[in-house]
Amino acid sequence: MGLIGAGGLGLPMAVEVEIVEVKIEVTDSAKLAIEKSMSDDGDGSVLVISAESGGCSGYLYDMKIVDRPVEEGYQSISVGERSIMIHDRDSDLLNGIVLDYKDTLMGGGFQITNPNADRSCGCGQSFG
Amino acid sequence: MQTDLAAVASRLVDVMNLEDSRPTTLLEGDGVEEVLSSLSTVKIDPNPPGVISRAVICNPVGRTIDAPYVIHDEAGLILLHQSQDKPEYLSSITRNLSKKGGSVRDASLVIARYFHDVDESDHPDGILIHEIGIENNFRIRISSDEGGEESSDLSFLQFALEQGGITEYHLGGNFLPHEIGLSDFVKLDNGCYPGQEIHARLDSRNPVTKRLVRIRSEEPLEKGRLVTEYGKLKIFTPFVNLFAHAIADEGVVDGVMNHKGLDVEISTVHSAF
Repeated sequence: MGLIGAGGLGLPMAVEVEIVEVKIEVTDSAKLAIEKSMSDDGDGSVLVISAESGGCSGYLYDMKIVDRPVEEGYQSISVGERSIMIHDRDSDLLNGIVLDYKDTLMGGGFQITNPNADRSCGCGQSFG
Repeated sequence: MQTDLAAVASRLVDVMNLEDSRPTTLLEGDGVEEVLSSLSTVKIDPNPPGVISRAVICNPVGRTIDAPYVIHDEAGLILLHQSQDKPEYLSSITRNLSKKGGSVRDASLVIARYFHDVDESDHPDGILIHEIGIENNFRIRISSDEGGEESSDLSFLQFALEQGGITEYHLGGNFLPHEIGLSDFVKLDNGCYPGQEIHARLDSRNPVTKRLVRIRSEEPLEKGRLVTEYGKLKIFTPFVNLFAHAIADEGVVDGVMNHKGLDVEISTVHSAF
């Protein structure tokens, strides 16, 4: 038998995460890049942007093209014919971001400018 | 004996019944080890219940903010924090785990639950958790009025300073893990974590030469720098019952030195518990 026994249910939550309504800005170049990236995907596919723990500054951006999540807790933002989805748990961290796309040979690709970040690492993928 | 649940919190204690009131947290859900590893200087592998690991968490400039013991339990990972308050990085872990149905819970009463659910007579001396800390023999046990010493934060601080333990003074983002006896837990094969760039640079270019030492003095010395014949000592804890901790330059040697008529004994803490 473990220290806790049958799961930890009943213990109080250690941390509560604030949930806000997410508003993001997607530049024209990013919209085009999304359309291009998802051109082979069906209508049920969405772009999920999330913030994962880790990276040099504490959080890492992650972007995935997946089937529209069936579970609750996601907010959907329409971008042309496509949808970007952000989980409620990331909403306060990603609210207000600007999603851009830079078409350069070095350092190109999707780039996120985040007003909630106090710092970010050189590669642009990690923030805190 | 009737257990007084109000008096029973999770405690990290030594064989002298000294109590440690620092917070504990339960991480539950899929991939808890991976999530914790993403912030830790050392990878936390999945292990059977009862196994103890240790994580070290740093800020982006590589300074230590926590060094929790990690108890692998059937319910998840139980973190015995070394910080005095609930650490902020739990917010990051909460976000990750909760998106996948997991959670981060305050486990301060976890031991109370354990003793509430089991026949207490099976554990008259508490639960032994091996491989934690000095002499590999710490205990989590019920706090009771019978036996043991009266608990207080001061008594644990005294014990930690005497025996080479991490206290709130070692944390707070002031010191590299290497400087406070935690260099064994900095592994650069764990990918990217907060502070990893700094640690990698130190590893390849500027190895850390400062080290944690324990100071024993008949009279308390003031916090701050102590200049010796062989280098400087930076005393960063208060003196409690003759003992304090300091960061020593490379040249400072272990032994007894005389400082303003006082005998001051210096001894390296190779691995802090």
